[in-house]
Amino acid sequence: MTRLETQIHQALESLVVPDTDLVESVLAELPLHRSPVRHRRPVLATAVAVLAIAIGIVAAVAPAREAIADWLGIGATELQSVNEVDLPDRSSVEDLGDPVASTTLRETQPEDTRASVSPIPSLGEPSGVFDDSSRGRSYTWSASANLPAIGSSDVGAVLSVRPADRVLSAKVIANDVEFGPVELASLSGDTIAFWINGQHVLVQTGSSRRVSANQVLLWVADGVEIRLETSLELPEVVRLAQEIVEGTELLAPG
Amino acid sequence: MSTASDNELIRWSQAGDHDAFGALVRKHQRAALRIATVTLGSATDAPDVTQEAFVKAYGAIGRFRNNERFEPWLFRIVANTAKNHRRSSQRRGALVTRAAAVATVPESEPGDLAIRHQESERLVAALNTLSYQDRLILTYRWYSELTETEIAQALSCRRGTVKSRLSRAMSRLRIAMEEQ
Repeated sequence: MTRLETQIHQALESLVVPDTDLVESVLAELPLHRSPVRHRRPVLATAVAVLAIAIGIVAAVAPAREAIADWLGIGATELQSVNEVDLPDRSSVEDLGDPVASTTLRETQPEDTRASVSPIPSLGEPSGVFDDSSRGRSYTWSASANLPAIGSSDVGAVLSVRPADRVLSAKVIANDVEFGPVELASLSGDTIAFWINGQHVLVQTGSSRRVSANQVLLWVADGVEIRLETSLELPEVVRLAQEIVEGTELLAPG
Repeated sequence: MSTASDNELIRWSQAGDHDAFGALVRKHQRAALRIATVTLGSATDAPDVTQEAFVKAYGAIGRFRNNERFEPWLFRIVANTAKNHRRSSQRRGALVTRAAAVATVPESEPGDLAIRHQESERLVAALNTLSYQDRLILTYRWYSELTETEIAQALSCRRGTVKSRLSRAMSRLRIAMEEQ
């Protein structure tokens, strides 16, 4: 160690740090919490089986389709399961809205978070930010070795956020595409997200805009719908999503 | 229980053993209190924040990966909890050394020890001018002795950015010390 590094160590060692024994007070709060034991069965496999039965029973009935969306709880997005789907040529990555200047983005962050304006810290700062009246605010990250491109675009990840108080779009999913609930464990409690494991169609409500979308993880936190589209497999997507769940205060819905 | 490894205590905690989690708290509370103090910039609220962080850690321990070290994971929870507390609290204190807190210098204190105290106070005064992010990364590197990978985990950043962040924090510390 250099002299300064040694001095830093000694200074930090000399700090007044409370000598409080927290064991009793921590243990006193634990019985109020759920057991921390991890579910050993994959949540997705079980949920998909249940969902398939539910959709089989009620697929044809419009009010029941709304009931499925409510049951699944996916915010501003309705789910429609169909036998087959025609994927549009236009990709969701090309339909994000108007670009937002990075200085504007930086100015919207609280002062002590301006050092990092990324909603997903491990991906670094977004390469683009967009606003759209229907899709909300979207952040994009360029494709890289660790972040494979979505389709034929040069984008590796798209994070979109918008208010979850009304239905703004629908996802049309073919029957052979796996989808269902996934548990996101966060420091503030568990959140149920929805994983669509394949290409599907995204339709904006009340418009003719239809685009194809890739693997998507979708959930609601604090009244905001969060949509994360990538070409990654579920475990990696969940890791990214859990960064956002723990830091949603950084998001500014469009 | 007192001789059990962290991995054993974590496994038992994951199975719902509160005593095992209590042993984890006992082992790591001092280090966690220091991280809370450094992040908050003051010792005052560190016990409450650290207690809250341990309770959160218990809730999340089901997803702890047993091939990792416990402290970087715990420190991340503590720092995030302290960061949120900073946002909601109007109170701002300062980091203080034990010598300054006592407010007397023993007359018989050997010269080099007195010099070391003065250096520490000067350095802590400089630390008080830095952002909590800078204080944290300096603590992780030069006190907690985390590896680069562990620092990245504790800060939720990419490993590649740890060096540059640390370098910038050191520069800012040097400048702050020169201005003392």
